[in-house]
Amino acid sequence: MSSSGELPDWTLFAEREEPLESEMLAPALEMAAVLQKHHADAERASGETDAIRRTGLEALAEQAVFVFQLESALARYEQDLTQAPLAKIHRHLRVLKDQMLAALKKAGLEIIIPLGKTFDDVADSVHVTGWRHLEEFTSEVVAEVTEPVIKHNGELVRAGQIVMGAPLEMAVTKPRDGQTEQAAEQTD
Amino acid sequence: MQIISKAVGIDLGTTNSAVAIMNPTDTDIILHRDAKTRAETTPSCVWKDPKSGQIIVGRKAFSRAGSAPLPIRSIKRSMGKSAKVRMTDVDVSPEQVSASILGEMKRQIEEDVARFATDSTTWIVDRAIITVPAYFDTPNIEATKRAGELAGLQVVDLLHEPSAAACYHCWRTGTRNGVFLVYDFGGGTFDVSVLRSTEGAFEVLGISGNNLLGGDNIDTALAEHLQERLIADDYELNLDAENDPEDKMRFDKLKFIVEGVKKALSNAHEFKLTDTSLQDKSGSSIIIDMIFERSEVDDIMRPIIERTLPYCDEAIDLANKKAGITLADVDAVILAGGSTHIPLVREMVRQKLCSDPEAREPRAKCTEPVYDKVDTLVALGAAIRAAAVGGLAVYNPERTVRVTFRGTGATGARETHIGGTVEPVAAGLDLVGGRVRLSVADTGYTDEEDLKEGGSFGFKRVPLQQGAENLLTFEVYDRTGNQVATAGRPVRQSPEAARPTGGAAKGALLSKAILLDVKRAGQRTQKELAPALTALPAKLKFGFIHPGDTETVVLNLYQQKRKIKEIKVPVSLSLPRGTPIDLNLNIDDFTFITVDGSIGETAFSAAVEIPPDREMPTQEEVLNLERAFKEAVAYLPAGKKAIAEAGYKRTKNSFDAAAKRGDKEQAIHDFEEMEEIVSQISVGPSTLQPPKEAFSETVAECHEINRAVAQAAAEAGQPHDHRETEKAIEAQRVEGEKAYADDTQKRLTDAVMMLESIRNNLIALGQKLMGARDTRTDGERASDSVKGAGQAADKVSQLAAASGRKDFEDEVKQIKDDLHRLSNEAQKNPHAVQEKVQGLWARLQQIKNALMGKKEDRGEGDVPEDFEAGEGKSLNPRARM
Repeated sequence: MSSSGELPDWTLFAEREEPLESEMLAPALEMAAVLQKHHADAERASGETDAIRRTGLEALAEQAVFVFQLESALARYEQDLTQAPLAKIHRHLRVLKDQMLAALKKAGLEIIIPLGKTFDDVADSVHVTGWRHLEEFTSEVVAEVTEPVIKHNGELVRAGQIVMGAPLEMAVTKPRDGQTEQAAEQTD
Repeated sequence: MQIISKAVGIDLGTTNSAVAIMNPTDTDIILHRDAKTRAETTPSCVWKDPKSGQIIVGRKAFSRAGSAPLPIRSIKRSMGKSAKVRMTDVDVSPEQVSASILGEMKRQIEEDVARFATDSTTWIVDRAIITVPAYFDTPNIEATKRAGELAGLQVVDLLHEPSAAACYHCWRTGTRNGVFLVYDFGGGTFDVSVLRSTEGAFEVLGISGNNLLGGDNIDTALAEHLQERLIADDYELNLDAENDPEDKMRFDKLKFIVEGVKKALSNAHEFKLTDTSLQDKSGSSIIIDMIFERSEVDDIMRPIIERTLPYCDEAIDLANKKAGITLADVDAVILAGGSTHIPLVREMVRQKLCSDPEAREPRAKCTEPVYDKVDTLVALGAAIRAAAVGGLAVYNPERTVRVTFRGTGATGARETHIGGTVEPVAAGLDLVGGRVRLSVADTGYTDEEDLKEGGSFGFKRVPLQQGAENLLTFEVYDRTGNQVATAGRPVRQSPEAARPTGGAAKGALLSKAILLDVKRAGQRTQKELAPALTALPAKLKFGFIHPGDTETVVLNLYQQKRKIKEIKVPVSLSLPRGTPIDLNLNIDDFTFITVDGSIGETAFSAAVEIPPDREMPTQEEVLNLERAFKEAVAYLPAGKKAIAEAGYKRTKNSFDAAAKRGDKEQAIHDFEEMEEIVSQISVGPSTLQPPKEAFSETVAECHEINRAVAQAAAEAGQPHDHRETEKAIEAQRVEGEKAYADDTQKRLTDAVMMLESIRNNLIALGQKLMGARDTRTDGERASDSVKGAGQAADKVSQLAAASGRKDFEDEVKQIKDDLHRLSNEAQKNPHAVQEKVQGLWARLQQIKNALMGKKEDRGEGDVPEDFEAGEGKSLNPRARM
């Protein structure tokens, strides 16, 4: 910058604030602080990755539900669709549906239809949208599956939606006029 | 091996609950998430399995709704009540049910806390801060505390929910001082609170809300809309959800579907709903394939959301009354509750409360409400407080010694102070004379201190490694030098680590104001004895005056608009009006109210039991209220009228819908709200003076004199602008009418003074005109004046007798005696007599005004007169002499 005997050109230097007092730390302490910071960064990155993975799985699970609904629709209208001239269309749709299912299974997705299972079997993996009390039910079993349970490598990705069936005697007695079910449950 | 206990924060909600804890270094908050469903909240729902007897809490219990035995929901609404609830085959108290929920919360967070364990530490959960609504009275608070203890938790503190929400906001933003409005719109309840933080300590200044207004009302309205659209598409969906379980299921499914629509429209302006999961009543599959626009859904939600806004005004009014706070003082509007995910809610809150350069009325300082972790911020705030208040407790492996550290383990300072307490928890262990040795391995720092009385210790200026976690190790020795425990306390040093951790005034607040019926200036009104949010316990003293002429003084006490007690105090009929009434109002910690005091020599005392909840209003009551509303609203100016009509209509619609579906609780709640609206807009008994009838008489008198003067002027051929004077009188009449409508004394006084001036001018003019023709002597004129006053006195005397006012009767009799005496002097001293008669005339006029303003029936006793008004002082000086 400057040759010997010459004063430095001070205009080349910008003014800056005096540095804060720094503390000399032992290398081990410096290393510990860096490791702690890296650990925190790694945890944050892991959380972000997990969130991305989760979003992907949820999208796949939604597709799986649609495929299930397509399958249900094909089954419901099978009689009409298997008559000519719709038989070909029906077969085409069925093949497409099977291919979609195969692709989802290949990706590790499991579509579980818990029809007939007991409440305890399914309680952890479904939303019960209602109860149906009929003579035909002798115990609490899944009476209708509105949406299947979707798992990925054994992990629940999307809870199913079901209607439970139960014996008639378990039907809720109608509360007195003007009372809610809960109010009817209250005692003095 | 150390056993470490860290206090957790629990939001015990009406619909859902949540639990959180700060991490070991108090730098972040860990909120429990269900391992399978990843849900951050748990339904506040409890069910007992009839076969196994096992108690199930949360989603599994919630799934049982719809089949017998039913699960218990919304137990929070019953906290503090003595009524038990049926849990499958046993009757249990609300706090036992809440204890089950809290026990589940404890179990859940134990899963997270287990991950804190190291080779040398295990972690336990045995202490908690539980949040309660700001409107909870002491019985509700105590019941919540007992529930926590039943769940095996030491409740280190109870925190108001809005304080917890604000605490999280302050912690996140590093704010220490400010005024906040917390708008909490949950699934089934709406609460709004105004609070102030001073150096991190919170004080609730105003609360309001509706515990039967929430997101569920929105889902019901949207489901009804979808149902109508599907009926229009020819699906058989005329549902009888109340009587047909299948229909109920169909309607619940519709609610479930629209919830998806609501969520989707939170992020988009249009949503194509497709669903094939529902069947109509004929068994046909319903194929839903329809577009929902946000504007269409907004139109359905708007009336429900609008219902929340007047409560915000109410809370701000209370804060204004308590601390002079206005909306302009509010720094941030903090949103809480699942329903605030709806964009329209946020937009309407912004429009109503947040800063807007075009708004005429004052607004909060923020431009947008704070929308952050609205489902869980109450639990997160509670966790922050739990860390600050609960600190960290460390046990030795034998659990014989507990070392408790105060405060949080995060600091921005480079040197820290750390203190705590060492307690023996096993019998026979004595730590008196013991000492504590501190060492920080990373920095090599050591220090030592003797244990003080009660086992406390404190180290000052402990140097910390910057930007890192420091492990402080404390070794406890007894007096003989034996080491009895080792406790580690991690302390995180970083400039960002030091954040406000909140603090809140403890104790219960009076949730609703207590009022008393009184009279002011002869008019029935109410005096607020204890305003809402009065800190409990409270002892308040008041002075009133005896109304006189009654054998019963009636003390009618109200909790807001609801009459809670009528105390009838028998007194002697001869007890003079103006006798002091002393009244003491005592409200204890449990909102148990007692009233005592004296009226002259007669003492009284009574305990107030809050009467049982009211029954469903009859059709007649509804019609009467409707009529009262129509009458009251007719007197309002156009703007206020439109607001009142819209508010009433919204609540009435909600009432009708609730009554139709047999929801008694909601219907009664709405009916009470309608009553409140009517009561707010009703032109109550005015306290203005003179009463309206007297004012009308003065107007009529002016017109009459004007006519007489006009006639006299015409006869005398003198000028008098009769029409102009009529106009001037009319102008003052209109002013007076407006004063009664606005309840403005000054405006009325001005109008009366103007009328009196007109009347005096007219009289003077009349006298001048008549004077020319008046041939009477001064004595005769004085004598005629006495006669005229005597006739007026006869009329006033009759009026006093009809009103049962013996004091006035006596006074008028005295005036008549005076007039009789003056009639004898009229000839001798006519000018002095005229002057005295004028004075007596004026007094007669005052008595007449007072009597005409007095309407209430006196057969049922009378209420105290409010001291401040001092009607007795001005109207009846003789009785006080």
